[in-house]
Amino acid sequence: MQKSFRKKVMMGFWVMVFLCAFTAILAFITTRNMQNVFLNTMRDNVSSLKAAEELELALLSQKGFLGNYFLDGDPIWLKKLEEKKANFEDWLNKATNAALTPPEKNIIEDIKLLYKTYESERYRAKQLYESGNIKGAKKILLEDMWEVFEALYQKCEDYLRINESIIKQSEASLQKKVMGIMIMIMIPALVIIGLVGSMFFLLTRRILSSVEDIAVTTRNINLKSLSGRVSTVNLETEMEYLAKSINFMLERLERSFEYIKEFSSSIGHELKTPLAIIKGESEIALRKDRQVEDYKKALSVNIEEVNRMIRIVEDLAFLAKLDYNPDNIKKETFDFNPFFADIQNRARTLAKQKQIDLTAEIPEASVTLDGNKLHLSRLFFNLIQNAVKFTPSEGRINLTVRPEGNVLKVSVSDTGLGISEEDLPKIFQRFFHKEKAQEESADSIGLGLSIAKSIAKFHGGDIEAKSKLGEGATFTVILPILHA
Amino acid sequence: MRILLVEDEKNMASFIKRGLQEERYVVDVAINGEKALFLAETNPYDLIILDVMLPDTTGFVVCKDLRAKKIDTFILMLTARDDVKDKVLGLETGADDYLAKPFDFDELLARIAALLRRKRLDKSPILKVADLELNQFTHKIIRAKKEIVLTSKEYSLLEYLMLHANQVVTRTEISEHVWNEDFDSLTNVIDVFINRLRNKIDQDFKKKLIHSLRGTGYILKE
Repeated sequence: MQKSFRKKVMMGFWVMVFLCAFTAILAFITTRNMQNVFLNTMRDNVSSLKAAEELELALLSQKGFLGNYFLDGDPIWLKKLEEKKANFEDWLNKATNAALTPPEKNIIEDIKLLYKTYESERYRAKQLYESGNIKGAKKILLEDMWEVFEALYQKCEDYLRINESIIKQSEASLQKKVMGIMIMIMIPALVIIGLVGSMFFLLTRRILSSVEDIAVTTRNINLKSLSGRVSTVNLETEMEYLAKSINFMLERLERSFEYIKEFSSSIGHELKTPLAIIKGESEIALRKDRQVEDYKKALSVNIEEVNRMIRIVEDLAFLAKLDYNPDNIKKETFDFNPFFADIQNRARTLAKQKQIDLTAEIPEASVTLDGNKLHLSRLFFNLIQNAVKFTPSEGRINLTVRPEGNVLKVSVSDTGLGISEEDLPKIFQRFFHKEKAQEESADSIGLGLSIAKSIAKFHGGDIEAKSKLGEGATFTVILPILHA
Repeated sequence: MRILLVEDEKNMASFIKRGLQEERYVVDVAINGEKALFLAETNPYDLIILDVMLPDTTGFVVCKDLRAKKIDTFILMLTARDDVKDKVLGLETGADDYLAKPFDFDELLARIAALLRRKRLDKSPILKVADLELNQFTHKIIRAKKEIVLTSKEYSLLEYLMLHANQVVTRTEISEHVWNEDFDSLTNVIDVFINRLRNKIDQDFKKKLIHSLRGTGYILKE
């Protein structure tokens, strides 16, 4: 089977042309047969011709018959002539019905007249014969009737000739008519083949041109120009569907690449800052001879920045592992309440340092989860650390655990600064930080929430954030329950 | 020469400030765009070093706002973003120069010096008044072929006077360009430094260069 769509379509086209041609030939043969049948029927119908031929033969035989019987004085000739009369009249009726053209009709009229003469002669001969005037009868028969015979015979031959020529003429006209019918069949057939063929051709071209358009657009797409889209204007449903699917794919690709671009630019920025500090700090330390204390200070700043870089790299590696290689992370079945009690204790210690009140609403009945305890505690800790960071002293942080159907909802709410509407969709993005200058610079690297979300997703859950600027924030972790 | 450093990274700001101070510059630090605008409006800086990534806004916005407020101080953009697009955007919004992190500190110094030289007719780094010479690169001061050693503050003061040679400079102007935000205007610290400078520059020479103008300020002339 051909692999090219174009070749397949072309093959279909040729098969169709062949079928059309085959049909045309079949039509040709059929009409040809029809013509023959028609002609035969017509010949049969011209029975007068046959009758004429018979009459001719009858006349010829009568000629001899008259001589033979009459000379012997046998009266049977009268009976024979009576018999012939019926035959002849029968023929005359047939011929009259069959005669359609004026020359035929004229000849028939002539024959009728001659026949009347013949009949009257015959009648005279019969009377003479019955009255005993055999000689007179014989004279009539052999002279007067003989002449009429000759004339009739001549007329019959004329009639035959005319009929033959008429048949030849109608044969020719019939052939013409058949040819006309053939042409009437063939021309529309050819027109239809042409129309269907060109429609086929145009349709194929159209399909192929949209395919080519798609091919050109997709070929021009690379990392630098993912914004190209296949045109969906004026396309048939199927092609439009294809074009739209490709556009949808391109859109997702573009978004992913945008994300990767922004992400790598962020990594660049995040790593460049500590690098610039290490470089600058070292350069300044080496500009002239200094006190040992100055060198110590420069080195400790450098270590601080190196640690920041290590954390960035480790966190990124952890995120990559969560997102792209999660199979290597082990899961275990565990009871949630004892696990969370430990987190709660550590959160309380953290909150106390900033004089933040920590409350918790945890139901008596525990649920069982399937997950990685180490990563889950990191998730909750990131959220709690954030809450502590953005909640002023004397504020309050509340932890709520609530099973809802198949999922467990754990909320961390605070009475802190809150998040603006503009920032809320961005907080889970990597390297998103807010007011970082107010924090210990090497402490926040903007990956905490991103990691928390990835951990939740890894466990088949999610994190939702609700907040208004100045009204605190609530982060709700949703995790699937193994069994209650 | 007084410089405003707009940088939110604590460690970054710390080493740039120290480095510049060692090069006799007077440095104030702003950790966000809001503070940068406030300081730039309050003090007549000779140069602003502006980081692009700020916690509350971007350097581009700050740059635009400064220019809109008719503050035409030289601006040197300093950032980790080194896309050509960003550089063009920075220069278009009104920055005079652009340097990508991580940078060589010597390059930063050279660019600052080059920018500061721009407003002078004489593009040479050596300032001359009579037989007194000040080299802005090496920070060497020579009078009558004899090197004079000055402290950082004394150098800044002399540099300012020499840049405005034959002009009267008020105490306020001196305080604005030679001292930073921590300056206490109620003290007579400027007079103290002028006296020290006189002891080193003029004492051993017949021709005095630094003159007091009662009630207004000082002038350095032949």
